[in-house]
Amino acid sequence: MTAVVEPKDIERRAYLSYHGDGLVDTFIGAAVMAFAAFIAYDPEMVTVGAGVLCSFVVLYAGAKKAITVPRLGYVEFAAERRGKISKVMLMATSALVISNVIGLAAWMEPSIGVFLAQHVMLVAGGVGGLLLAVTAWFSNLRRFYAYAVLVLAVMWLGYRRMDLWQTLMAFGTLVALSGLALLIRFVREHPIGGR
Amino acid sequence: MSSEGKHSLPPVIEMDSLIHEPGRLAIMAHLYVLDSADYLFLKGQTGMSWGNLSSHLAKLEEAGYVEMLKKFVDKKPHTTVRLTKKGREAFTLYRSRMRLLLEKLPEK
Repeated sequence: MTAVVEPKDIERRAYLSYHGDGLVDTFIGAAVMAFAAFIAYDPEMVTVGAGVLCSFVVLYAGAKKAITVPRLGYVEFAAERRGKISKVMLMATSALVISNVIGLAAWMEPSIGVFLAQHVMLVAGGVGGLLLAVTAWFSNLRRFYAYAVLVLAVMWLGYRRMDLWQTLMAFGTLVALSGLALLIRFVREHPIGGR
Repeated sequence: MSSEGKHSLPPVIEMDSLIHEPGRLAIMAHLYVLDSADYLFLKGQTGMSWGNLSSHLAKLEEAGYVEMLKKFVDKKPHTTVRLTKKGREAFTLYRSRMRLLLEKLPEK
């Protein structure tokens, strides 16, 4: 038997309660849907679409301030946790930069473009799955492992059957709906004004 | 109390009774792992009432273990709480003494 206080458990519980609002899922899903809509309209707008994704970060921060903070309160996590979050942000930014570099390379070297055009869904699924799995690892949000599997499954099912924008739209919709379900539960469990 | 060295317990009386109270222990433990938090967050995490929380925080502030940081957020006054250096050292010491006490207890 031990009654020794375990700080890591307390910190983890506090962090998970702060991110159990479903907002990150909702915004990631919505961002992917928006990106899919961009490339459905014009595949060459992929760079513009990627830029639009960045605006969702600002929207997410605003939503956190408007929805979560009035219900849960304000907290600043310690440097170690902030460092992990920074790694996730750095990774997401790197993925966006790399995708733009690949797009540029494909434009400059047609053979790369041909390869990507033929296997884009497998490449996108692999990269997306890896990104989500690493996010799950650093953020301790285990549901992101499920999203990693989901993106791989959606891309594999859509391979040679659907267009990339359709599979992205499907994936984004599922993640956004999952986020909204979490958000609705969160709002019901945490009315404004405390318990 | 056993006189044998391997079963001698650290003096329980040396435990910091200010931290040892369950409500204050919960507050100190949360602030130990967080940089800072406001009243609403601490209330939600500890499950205390507003009155209880305020009372415990006042005692901890009086002892110099926590400090209140007042600032304006969106033109509204906002107070967050964090451990002072003294509070962090006191909690670290409390934790190590508690661990030692429990580890020294013989198995039944």
